[in-house]
Amino acid sequence: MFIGRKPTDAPLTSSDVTDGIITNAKLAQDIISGDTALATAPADTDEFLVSDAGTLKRIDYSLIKSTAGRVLIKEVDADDVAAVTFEHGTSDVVFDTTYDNYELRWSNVKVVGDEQLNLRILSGGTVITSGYYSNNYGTVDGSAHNDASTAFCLETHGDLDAGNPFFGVAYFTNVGVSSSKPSYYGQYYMERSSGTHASKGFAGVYDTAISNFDGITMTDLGGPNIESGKFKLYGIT
Amino acid sequence: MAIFINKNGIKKQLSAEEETAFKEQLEIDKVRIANKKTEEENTTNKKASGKQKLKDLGLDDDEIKALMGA
Repeated sequence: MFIGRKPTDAPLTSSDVTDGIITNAKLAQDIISGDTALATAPADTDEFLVSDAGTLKRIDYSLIKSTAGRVLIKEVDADDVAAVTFEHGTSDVVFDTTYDNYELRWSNVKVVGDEQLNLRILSGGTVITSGYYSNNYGTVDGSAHNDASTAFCLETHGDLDAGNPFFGVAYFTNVGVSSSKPSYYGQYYMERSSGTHASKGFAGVYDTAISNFDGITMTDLGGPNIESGKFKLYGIT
Repeated sequence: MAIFINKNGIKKQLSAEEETAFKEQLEIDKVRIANKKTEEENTTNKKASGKQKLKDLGLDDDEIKALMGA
């Protein structure tokens, strides 16, 4: 209020405001206040504040976020089945060019009887049963034991002991890649019903260039079933 | 007896057509495995008989091992 002539407006100065009384509600929405929490991961173009040698700057989240090098795609607990299969396209299973490599891990796999398992690839959803060039190499109780086959990626001895864990890992490349030979390598351990122990490596290719390598399957070749076991499929960039 | 598989985390029973194909492949694999076993047994037997023939010629075990690697 004033009487007579209106006084000249005086600019607000720092000394006019008591310390500690400006509340968040008094701030405009373009002020970075932290009033609202971000409940999800930031978008790539969301920005962080950073002191660059004393100068406050902003930086896109895309420039500082971590990139997962190995992603769990699917975890399966086998339960009395004749085969465990991963095929691209359903139940969130990705098995295409999304990742450079794929890793299959199996652990505590147990069979009902003394049986034999093998690992094969799928082409367009169909199990490939020939045309591989696979070498299996390793030892059985310290004695060298090697073989080659055109029928599978890996195949256990015929007497995988019931009740003892079969475990291993396999890596696959050229998955879904146009005109390429599906490639793989890995390792596994098994105990035989004879009481001997086999530790093997394997590596090879499906010796034909294809464009639809889209799955893998581990199959029990007879007898009852895969009683139990954990299978994990990872994508690796 | 019905055949079940686990596909992408889902346990499913094979259709009649799938089951037939699955069993046919198992039979093919059984024949392949049996043939391989026979082949391995033949190789083992040939090694043993070859070794015996060398022994009959007067070679001792060390000489045979040096020649055959086993």
